[in-house]
Amino acid sequence: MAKIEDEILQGFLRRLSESDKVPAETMKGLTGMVNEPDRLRIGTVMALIEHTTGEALA
Amino acid sequence: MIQVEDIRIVEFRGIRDLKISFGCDSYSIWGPNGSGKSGVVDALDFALTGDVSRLTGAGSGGVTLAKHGPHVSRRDDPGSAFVAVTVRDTSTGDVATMTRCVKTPGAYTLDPDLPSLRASLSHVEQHPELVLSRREIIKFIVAESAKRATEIQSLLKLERLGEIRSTFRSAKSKTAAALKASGTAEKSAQQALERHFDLPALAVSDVLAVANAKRLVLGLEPLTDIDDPTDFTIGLAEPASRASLDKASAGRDVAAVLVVAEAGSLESLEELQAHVGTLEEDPQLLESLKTRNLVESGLPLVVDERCPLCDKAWNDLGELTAHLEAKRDRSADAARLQTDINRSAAGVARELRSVEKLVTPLIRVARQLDLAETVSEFEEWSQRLVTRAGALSTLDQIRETCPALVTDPLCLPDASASLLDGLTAAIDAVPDPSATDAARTFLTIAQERYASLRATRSQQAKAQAADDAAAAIYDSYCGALDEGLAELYATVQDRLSEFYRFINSDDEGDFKASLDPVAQRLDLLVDFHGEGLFPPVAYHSEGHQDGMGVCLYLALMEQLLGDEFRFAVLDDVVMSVDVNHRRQFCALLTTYFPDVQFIITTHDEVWARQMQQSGLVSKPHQSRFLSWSVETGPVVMEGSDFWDRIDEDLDGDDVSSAAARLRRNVEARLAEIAEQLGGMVPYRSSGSWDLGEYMNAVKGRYSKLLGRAASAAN
Repeated sequence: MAKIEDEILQGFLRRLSESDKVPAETMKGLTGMVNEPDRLRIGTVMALIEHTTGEALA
Repeated sequence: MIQVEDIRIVEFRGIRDLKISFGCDSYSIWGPNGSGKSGVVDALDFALTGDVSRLTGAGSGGVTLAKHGPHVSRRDDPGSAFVAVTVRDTSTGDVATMTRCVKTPGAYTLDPDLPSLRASLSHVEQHPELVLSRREIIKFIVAESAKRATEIQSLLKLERLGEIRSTFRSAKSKTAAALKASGTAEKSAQQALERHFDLPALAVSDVLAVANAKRLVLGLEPLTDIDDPTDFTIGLAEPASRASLDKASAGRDVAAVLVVAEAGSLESLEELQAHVGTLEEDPQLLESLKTRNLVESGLPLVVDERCPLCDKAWNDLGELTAHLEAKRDRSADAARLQTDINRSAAGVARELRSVEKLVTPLIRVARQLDLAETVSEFEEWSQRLVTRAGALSTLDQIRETCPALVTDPLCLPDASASLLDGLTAAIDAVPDPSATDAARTFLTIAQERYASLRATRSQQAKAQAADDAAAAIYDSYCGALDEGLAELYATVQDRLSEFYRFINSDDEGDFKASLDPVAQRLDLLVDFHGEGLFPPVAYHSEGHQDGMGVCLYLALMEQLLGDEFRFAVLDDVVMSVDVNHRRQFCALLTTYFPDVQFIITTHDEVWARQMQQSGLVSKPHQSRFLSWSVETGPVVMEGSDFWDRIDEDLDGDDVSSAAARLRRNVEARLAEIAEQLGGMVPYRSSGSWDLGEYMNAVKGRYSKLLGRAASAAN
C-alpha cells in the first residue's frame, strides 16, 4: 500500500472512530478491510454494515 | 529500495551486447541523438518492471514488447533478448543479479535468490515512474486540469482511494434506497392498521378506546397502554379462526383500493414520463449516456493528435481534446438526466408497492368468501405490481416499461370496478356475526396488523441504523480524503516552489506555485515575475516548463516514496533548459537528493561535463555513446570492451559485424582526435563523416603540426 494511501485510510479510521453512528463491530470490520484493501468491495461493505448495525440494535 | 550496480543488455531494442557499471552511484550517459542512449533507459525500464513504457503508451499502436523489444535483427527470437541487472538493496546491502528475458517478461531470475531483495524488486516493479522521460514530465505541466489530476493521482497511486470512495458512496446509496423502501412498507402497514381501527391516525388514546370497547364485549380487562409488544388479544381463550371476517374492516380495505383504482394514476409518473420523454426526443443524449464511461476514460489518454479511442488522426491536439471534452460535457447533461429518471422511477416503484400492499388484504377476504376467480384476478394483479416495480431499476428497463406505465399505470385487472363491486357485495351479503364473534375477529386482525407494523418498524429502525452508519462512513472517508489530499498537494506545491526557486534563483527568486484540487481537477498556477498566477504554459518558456516539470516530479516522488526514493532514471528531461539553469539543476540534485542514484541521459556534452564538475557524477561514472549502427548497436567509449566484442564477432565467424564495429569505433576515435587536433573535414549539414574524411583530416592536421614542430625545433 502506498504511503499516502495508508495515511489517508488511517485518517479515515480515526475520524470514523469519533462517530456515534458506527457500532464497534462495524468499526472493527472496516479496520480489517482497510488493512487488507482487496476486501474493500461493495458486497462485503454492505454485508458488514447491514449485519453489524442490525446486531447492534438487537 | 534498490540501486543499480551494473547492467548487461543483450539483443534488446537497438543494443547488441552492452555492459555498463553504474556502481550504485549517479551516472550520466551522453551522446548524440540516435546513438542508443534510450536503449539503456528502455533496458532498465524492462528489467525493473517487465515493461517498456515507450512501447505501451498512447501513440504506440501496433507496437508490442514481444515483437519490438528484441533487436531488429532478432525480432523473431524474443528468447535471445534479455537484460541482466545487478542491484543492491539499500536497506540490507544485499546484492544479486536479476535477469529478465523478452520472451517471458512477467518473470525474472534472481541470483542469489534472496527473499528480501525480491520484496524490494516487487516494490520497484510497482513504480514505473522511477524511469522518467521528458514526455512524461511535461505532461504534468501542459495537461489540462482534469488530465493532470488523473496523471498525478496515478503517479501517487491514488486511484484506489477514488475507487474506495465510489464503494462507500454506492453503499450509502443502497442503504438510502433500503431506508426509503422500508419507510414505504411501514407506511402501508400503518395505514392498514388505521383502516382496521377506522382511525385517521394511530393516537394511543383512540386506539385504546376502540380496542377496549371490543375487549369489554368479550369481558376482558381493558388495556392501559400500548407498549411494545402490546397484545390486543391478551386474555382471549383462542383467537378468531382465519375464516372469520370483519365486515367493516374488509369494507374499508376494499374502499381504499377503489379510491386508488378510480384515480388510476401515480404521483411520480408525470415526472418520470417527462424525463424519459426528454431522453427519447434527443438521440444524442442517449448516445452520450452510452459512451460516457468510454469518453471519460479516453480523455486522460490523449497525448498526441491520434484519438486514443478510435485511433483517428486529428490535425490538432487541441481540436481533439475539445471534441472529447464537448462529448463529455454533453454526457454530463445526460448523466444528470439519468439521475432524475432513476429518482422518479424509484418513486413510481414505491407507489406501485404501496398499491400492492393494499391489494394483499383483499386476496385474503376474497379467499374467505370462496371467490376463486376474484382471488385469482387479485393474485395476478399483485404479481403484476411487484414485477412492474422491479422492472424500474435500470435505464433500459425504465425506458421499456414507461409506455405501459403511461397507458395503464396500475396494471389494473380487466373490469376491476366490477370485481371490487362484486367483492363489496359479497362482504355485505355475509350475515352479521354475533357481537362477541365480531369483537374476537376485530382483535385478532388488529393483532395481526399491529404485529406487521411492528415488524416493518423494526426493519425501518435497522435500515435507519445502516443508513446512518453508511453516511458516517462515507462522510468520514470524504473528510479524510479531502484533508489528506489538501495536505499532500500543499506540501507538493511548497516543495515544487522551493526546488524551482533553487534552480532559477537568478531571475525567479520569489517564484511560487499553486496546486489546487477542485472537484475532479487539479489546477496548477505559477507565479510569473510577480505579475500574478498563471497556467505554466501561459508565459513561461519551454525550458522553464521543463524545469517546473522536473521539480514537480521530484516533489511528487518525495511524497510517494519518502526515504525510499533512492533511484531514478531521467531520460533527457531538461533538454530545453539553458546551460546556467542546468548547472543549478545539478546542484539541486546533489543538495536535496544526495542519497538518490540518478541515471541521466543527455545529448548535450556541456551538461554532461556540468554533471561531472558539479560532483553529481564522478568521472568513472559516465559513458559516452559515440554512434550507433544496426549491426553493432551503440559504440560506447569503452576501449577494452570494444576489442573484446570484435574478438567475439570473429570467434563467431561474424566478420561483417566485426568489420562494421571496427569501422564505427575507428571513426569515433578519429572524430575525437580530429576535434582535439583541430583537423578540418569538409562541411556537411548532416554532421556525419566517414572514415576516409576523418582520416584525411587527422593525417593532414597532424602532418602540419609535426611540420610546425620541426620548424620550431630548428
